[in-house]
Amino acid sequence: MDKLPRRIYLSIPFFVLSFLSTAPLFFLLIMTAHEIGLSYDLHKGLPIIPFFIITPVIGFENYFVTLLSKNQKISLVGRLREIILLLLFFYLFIQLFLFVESGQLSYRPNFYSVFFMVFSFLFWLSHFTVLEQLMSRLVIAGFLEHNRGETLVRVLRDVQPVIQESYTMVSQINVTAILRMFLTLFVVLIYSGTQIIIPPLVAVFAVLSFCIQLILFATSQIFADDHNYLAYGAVITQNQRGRRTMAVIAISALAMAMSLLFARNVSVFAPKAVYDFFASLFRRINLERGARRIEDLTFLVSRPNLPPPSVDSYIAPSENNIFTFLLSFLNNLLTISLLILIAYLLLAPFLHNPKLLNQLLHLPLNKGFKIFLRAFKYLAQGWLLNFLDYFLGIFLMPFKGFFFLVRKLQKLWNKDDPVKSLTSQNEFVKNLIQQRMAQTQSEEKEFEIQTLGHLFTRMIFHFEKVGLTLKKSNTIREIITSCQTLMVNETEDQDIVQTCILTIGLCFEESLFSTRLITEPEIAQAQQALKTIAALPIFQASSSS
Amino acid sequence: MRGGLLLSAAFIFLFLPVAMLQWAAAVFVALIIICYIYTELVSRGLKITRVDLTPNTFRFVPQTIRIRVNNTQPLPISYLLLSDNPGGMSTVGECVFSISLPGNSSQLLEYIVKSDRRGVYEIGPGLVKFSDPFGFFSRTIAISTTQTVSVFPRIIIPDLKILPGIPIGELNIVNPLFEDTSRYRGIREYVPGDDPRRIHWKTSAKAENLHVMEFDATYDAPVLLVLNIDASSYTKNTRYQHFERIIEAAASASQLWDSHNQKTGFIINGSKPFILPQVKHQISYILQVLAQIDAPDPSPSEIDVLLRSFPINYGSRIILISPPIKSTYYEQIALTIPPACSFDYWMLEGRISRENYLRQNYISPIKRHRIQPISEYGNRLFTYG
Repeated sequence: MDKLPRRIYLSIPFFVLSFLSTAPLFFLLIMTAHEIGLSYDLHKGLPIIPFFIITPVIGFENYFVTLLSKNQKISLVGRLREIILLLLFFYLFIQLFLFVESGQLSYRPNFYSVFFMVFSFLFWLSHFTVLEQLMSRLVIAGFLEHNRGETLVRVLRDVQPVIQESYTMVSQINVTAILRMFLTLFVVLIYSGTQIIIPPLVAVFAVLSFCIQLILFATSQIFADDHNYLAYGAVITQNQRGRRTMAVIAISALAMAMSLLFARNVSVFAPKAVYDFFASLFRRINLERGARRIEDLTFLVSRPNLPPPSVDSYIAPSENNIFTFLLSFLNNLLTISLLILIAYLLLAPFLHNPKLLNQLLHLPLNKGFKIFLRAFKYLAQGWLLNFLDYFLGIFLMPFKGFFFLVRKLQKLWNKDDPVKSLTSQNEFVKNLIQQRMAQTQSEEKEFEIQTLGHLFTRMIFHFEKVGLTLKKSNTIREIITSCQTLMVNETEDQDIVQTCILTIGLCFEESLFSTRLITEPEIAQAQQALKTIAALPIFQASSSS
Repeated sequence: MRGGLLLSAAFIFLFLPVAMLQWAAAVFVALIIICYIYTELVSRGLKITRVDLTPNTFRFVPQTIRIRVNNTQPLPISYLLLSDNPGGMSTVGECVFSISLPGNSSQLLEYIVKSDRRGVYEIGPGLVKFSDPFGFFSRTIAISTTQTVSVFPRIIIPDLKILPGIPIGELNIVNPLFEDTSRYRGIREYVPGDDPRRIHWKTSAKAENLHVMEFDATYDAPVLLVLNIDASSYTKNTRYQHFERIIEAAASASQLWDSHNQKTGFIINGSKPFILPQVKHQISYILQVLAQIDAPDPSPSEIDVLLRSFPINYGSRIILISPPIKSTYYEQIALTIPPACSFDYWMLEGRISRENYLRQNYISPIKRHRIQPISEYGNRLFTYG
């Protein structure tokens, strides 16, 4: 794997994909900037030729630096050194371009050169992020070349931190791709604000950018699935990946062709409705309302020839007073509720996530600017994600409410739902689960305890129907033995039932007390065991009675 | 993620009056819908079956497990993961597959399992994972059918002569006393002393001197195997090895007699005794039973009681396969043997000699009784011979 030609062979598609996913988007940005009149000179538009020249240069530079780093992540200092050199190069390049164009040599930076450098830097950063995420696949390529099956699983287990890091990076690509897709759409929206008809070149770049982001998204999912399957010891071949890529292209083509039938330059709902909605929303929380009233009063004072107000205006009917009061009260209530909601959304991440609160409290204790910055970055990321989660949650609330209502109605039809009665039983098992979940640090472990805990409580629920009694002092092993004893001479397939009980019990016990993560096949086996138990005639008979 | 994407796409599609944006949003929605339909159809059209329902094998002998994956839908599956649970058996190669399936096609997957331990193993339940090409929806399907693999004990054919039991049977012998008059062999000239009833008159008339008929001599050697699984007979520190060896000896004896087409009866003195009458061709059933025995029984039945209630065939050879037992118990068993039957004791030689227990040099006071020592390990069943 250390051989350079082999690395080049494997990494060329990554380079092409990362470049194609970055360049059209940035070209689109430049053309939009050019169109909305962002210029360094009042008499001249933004020349875009140097941008077209410099992007492949940055792409190749990024690729070769990443390629030559030989599986090692380049340090922050190394990257800093690289960007300083590049900025110097960008500056010289743009000054040379300006000299060729205008014939005047100037070393002083102007708006255009600064804009160019900022743009180039952003392009470099954007391209490098995706390229590095894709190139992390090269790390595992070496392990996949010669190992298969159990040997591969053993090898991957030995280098788990590396694989985990690679998996995290690969999984991040889909977030990047989605963000870029929305950025593309946003840029198109801005462009369409300036031009009624989008020029073909802009349209081509927009479509290209959108399509490549889709392919990037699909590629990231393919790689993530690859990693997932590797955990089982299965290696996806190049041929199989090719088939899936073909399926991606076919489905995309179909979706794109179908969508052409629906796309029009007219919105389904009038945009004015959206505008009115947001306008009314912002009007409610407008804090400068008092000032406007003063302006109104000043306006009134400035008109001395105004006729005196009629007597009727002073004698308002009593019903109207109450009505006005109620309206103003509701108005204020709504405003206050909105403010409280916003305040709650801002604070909710800290209130509901003790880890985040802990990070916030310990933030001033970080010594050193760099460490402080890193801690702040983690805190900001955590807060933002939680905030977005709650924010989206509010929009999804009506849908959730609807589904909740539907589920409740379903339960009215089916009153013998076993899950319903689970809530009142197995209290101490639940306590045990909650206790362990509070102690664990890993989210995967929490999920695992929750899943297996659910299976275990379901099993107990079934056995309680045939006379299982639990005490607070019972251990899980004792519960297993009690369940097994209840099943002696009750069914024909003794061995299978006993094994099923043992499988669920042991999996649950291991999830609670072992640091090892239970594998997916084991969980599937436990789920299957529960199904077998639930299908036993003895439980079927007791549930029907 | 899917919900957020759908919501955003719906918002863009419904409210923004730009064709390109509406197109992109519609692409999103269409992709998610197509992927959902694809996943649902594929998961419904995927049929997974196990080809051999109850495969059997011997210790250390590889056995192939075959699974057929059938895609009944016309939609192709770019790849899916199938992971089977070998149920405690060791696998030769992989039991995890990643396969591609074109529409309306099937594929046969094979992997090899083997075990160094006798027993009944349950293969499965397996697991199938797949997702749509964009990875929006992934599905995990459990293969509910399981497969029981019986691992029979190792068979070491002993170099043992099958002694004659009663005349007329399947085995040939030279002794004319065992002649079977239903198996005609040939005609020869009469010699003084031949039974006049054997003269073949037609041939004698033609040849003008006396000729007699000859018949094949055959014998039958029914056997009754008695397996002692009394836990107290096994020393604690070598219980597992000795028990396995005893089971191997029982399996080997059954195989030997069955290969000679002889009637084989079987008795196991567990707490729930297993009794099989003396019938031919029941080796597979005996091996199945032997594969299922877990460990020595702490509360066994008495062998002599079982023998008394068993209808033993005339001239049977009764073989007790056991570790050393108490001499009094041995005599008690020996006394129940019918007079026309012979009695063999295949005794596992133990390194530890216990007081009042039989030893290899024990000479039975009863006629037609033999003790054959079984070696503790190795590729030969008996220590001598």
